[in-house]
Amino acid sequence: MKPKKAQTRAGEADEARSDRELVYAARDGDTRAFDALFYRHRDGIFRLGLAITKDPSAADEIVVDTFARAHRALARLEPDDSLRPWLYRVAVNLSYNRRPRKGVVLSPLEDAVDEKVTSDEGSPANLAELAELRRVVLAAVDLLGPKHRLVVVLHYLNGLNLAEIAQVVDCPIGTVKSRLHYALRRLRTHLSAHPELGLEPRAAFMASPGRQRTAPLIVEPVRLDRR
Amino acid sequence: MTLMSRSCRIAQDQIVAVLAGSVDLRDRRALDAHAARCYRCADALRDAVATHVALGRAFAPLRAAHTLVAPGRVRLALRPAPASPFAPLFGLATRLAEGTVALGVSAFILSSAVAGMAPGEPAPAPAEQSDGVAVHVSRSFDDTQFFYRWVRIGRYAPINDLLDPSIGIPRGADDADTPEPVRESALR
Repeated sequence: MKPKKAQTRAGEADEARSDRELVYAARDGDTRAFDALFYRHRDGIFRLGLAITKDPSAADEIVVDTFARAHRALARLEPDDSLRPWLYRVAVNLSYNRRPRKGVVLSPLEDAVDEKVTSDEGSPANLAELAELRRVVLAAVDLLGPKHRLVVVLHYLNGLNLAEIAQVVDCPIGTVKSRLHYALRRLRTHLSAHPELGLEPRAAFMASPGRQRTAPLIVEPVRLDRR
Repeated sequence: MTLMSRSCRIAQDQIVAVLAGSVDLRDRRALDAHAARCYRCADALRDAVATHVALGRAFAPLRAAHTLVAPGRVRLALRPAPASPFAPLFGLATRLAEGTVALGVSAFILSSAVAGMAPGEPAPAPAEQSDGVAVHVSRSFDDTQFFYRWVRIGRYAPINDLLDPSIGIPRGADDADTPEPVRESALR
């Protein structure tokens, strides 16, 4: 049992180390440090690859290729704190190289993920409603242009903040903001065609007399699963 | 085109920042205060929040997707192909063999073409078809050039006779081997 305990303790120690420390350790030949980096970021890269290619096996290959590139570039990697933007940038490039050719019909993203995600708890009616919402929203996301879709995926699927997205897509934060703003507006237009989803705050607001607000709007951003 | 005031423009810019959670409390209060006065910005903020919530809910199950790829696959991808010390020699031998075969084939083609052009013996007579077998024959027969071609055709007894063990087939009736009688039940 002793070696197992020692392994667990080493794993916890690796989790506490920052990406920068792990990169330096891996550069010195510490295989465990590289493995810790791999386990820390593999799921995020997988999701990103899955969102762009819509093919789980291609997403797996993107994970492997991304870390193979990272290993080759260890000597010149200088992450400020997190290696995530660099890894995601490589993964985005690899994903766009692996995108299905025109004419090849792959199953939609929600189908690809259904096999991998266990259903949430809830009544069948809630699950059906959620599935419909997901289908409509993801279909609307698919209609966006590649730049806007990438920003949406990086923010809402991978939980990157605006500064990290700016590093991944290599543009100023203001550009990321405007792309996200434009994407939200376009999505809003698409979603307004589905009143059954209950996403009509404007209609409710317009019904109020005088169209004037007295209380401040309380904006509670959705908690994303950030790491 | 809708004209927007400067404060509206700032508010529109801040909506995304508010949703992304990258705005401090002071700016957020300023945005709320502006939205309380301007119904257009309040609408935009509400729409953005609704879309933001819908996106968050739609992507929530996808955020649980994970992969089982192990770091060993990265090491496999990084491992260079094993190099044999005899690889250069093997490659040289392969090239030599390919060259020899290419030379041989070229020489054969050239010699066949030259032999075809040279005057020599007349071309052989065309093959004649006889009972499904191609047989070369000579047009001019003489005593020194003749041959037999004997085709052996086996004749078998009718099936009813074969099934009856009491009926024997006379030996020497034909050249075929006498078949063994078969019981009818064995054929079913």
